[in-house]
Amino acid sequence: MKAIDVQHLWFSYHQEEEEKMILQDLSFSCEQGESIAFIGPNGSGKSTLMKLLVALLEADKGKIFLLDKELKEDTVDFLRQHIGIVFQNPDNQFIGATVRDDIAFGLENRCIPHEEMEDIILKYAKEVGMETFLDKEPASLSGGQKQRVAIAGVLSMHPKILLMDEATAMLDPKGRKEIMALTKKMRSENKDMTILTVTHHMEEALLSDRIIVIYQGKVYMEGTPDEVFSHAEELKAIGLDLPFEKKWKEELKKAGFPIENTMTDEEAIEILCH
Amino acid sequence: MKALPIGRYTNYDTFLNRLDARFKLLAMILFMVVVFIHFGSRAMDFTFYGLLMVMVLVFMRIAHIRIRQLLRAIKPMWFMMIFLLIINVLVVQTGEAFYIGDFPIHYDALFNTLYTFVRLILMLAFSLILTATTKPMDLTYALEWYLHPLTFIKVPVHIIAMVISLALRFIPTLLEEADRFMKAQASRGVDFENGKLREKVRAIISLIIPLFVSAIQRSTDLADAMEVRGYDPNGKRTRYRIMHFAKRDVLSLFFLLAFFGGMLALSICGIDFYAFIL
Repeated sequence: MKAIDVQHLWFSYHQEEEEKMILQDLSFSCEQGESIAFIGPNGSGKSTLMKLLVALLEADKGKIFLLDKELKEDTVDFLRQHIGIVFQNPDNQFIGATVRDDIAFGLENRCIPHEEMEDIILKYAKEVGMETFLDKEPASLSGGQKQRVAIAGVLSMHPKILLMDEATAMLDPKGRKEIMALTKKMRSENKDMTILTVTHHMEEALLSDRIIVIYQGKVYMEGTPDEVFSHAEELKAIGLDLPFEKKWKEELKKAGFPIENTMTDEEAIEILCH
Repeated sequence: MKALPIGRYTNYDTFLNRLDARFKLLAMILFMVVVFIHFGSRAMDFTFYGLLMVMVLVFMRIAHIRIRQLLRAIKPMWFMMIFLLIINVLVVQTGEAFYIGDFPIHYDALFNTLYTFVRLILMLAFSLILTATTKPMDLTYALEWYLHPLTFIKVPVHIIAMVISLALRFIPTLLEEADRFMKAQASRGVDFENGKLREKVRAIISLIIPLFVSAIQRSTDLADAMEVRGYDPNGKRTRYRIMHFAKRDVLSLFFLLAFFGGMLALSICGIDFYAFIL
């Protein structure tokens, strides 16, 4: 079963000519349990794509299939039960007065009985390491902590598909590390959860099974992290950089060493030492 | 962050904090009503105010509220009180009077002002105690509970409650942001403190516009976040927070009603204890 299948998607915010549209004939698909990172320069349409996937926006042309069902007006409510999204701004998605209430918000909407909520809240707060902050208000939490609460809120609804729309963009390096570690943990614990990440940080993109580079509303490149990052020049041409661990190998290769950036650190160091 | 004018929730675990918010809201409303009760005589009235003041002080003591906080809340009222005094002196022309030069000052005028002053202090004190011992969210739930009957005439009470709770949730966020905008504008040379009224207004506008833009942006983001998490304003939802009346609430309610009823009875009968004594 394909978790997501996007076919020939066109979208623009205002009525515009084809070549100016945000998404232009964009297609991709992904298997259940796969994790995909979307990278691309600003304004390439990555976040728009995420909003289309959760039906906050409606495509002009093209089809979206989630879990083999087409995303349409009469399937939205059903499909939204299986898809969760974490947005960029930690403050603007914190709905409850405290951590507890925020995790409960989604449960209340799902009509989970009151008696079961406490256990679920505790379970997912533990999952993201926020169990000691349950009664804290958002004002006294860091950005990374708020994002962890947002993730707990989404996880508590058992999504089959999890979207992270630049969830680390507004965080400090420490907060970003927290979220990256949590993403890793989620992937290893929920093997059949499909995770889509939109990011500007190449280190984050490295964590996923597959990378899709989006440029001017089209799929520009697609492949495993090693494949994608071996095209350093093409990426540079659209303003993207390599992650640090690829970058130093690339620089050494340019300097004439027999090193490829797909090598592991150890292999590269081995060659350097001889 | 600046404190809100009335008072902020202080996170102590006192008897008053533990009381049910619905009871506390009712209690505050009753106390505010009781403040306006008239008894048989002025002496009785002020004895009663004294009694209420003692109660206020006891509550404040229990809730860890300093007297200074109450004084700070009263401070902005001085000007109003003096104004009220002048109006009263000029308007009230009944009863006995004493003279400053040829100008008569009636005792009634002084007492009228004093009544208003004492009532205002008491009401401020009660609301201070309520807000210091009750979380804003709990107050919202209490309000929702009281307004619940209105759902029968199709008033969307749960939506109103959600709006209030979201507003409360975003007050600190927006205050923090206003503070940041203020610093950003000050660093660009906007002077918020000096200058003529026109310049001040212009300075404030440079603060308000970005604040509005950002608040609207936040609200769209928030609406998106709520929608994808399955919020349907008209749909059925379960509740995480459920309020329970405890034994202490029932007992307190009994005492409150007894007190309120007693005072009301005294007032209606117009009994004046001092008339017996003297």
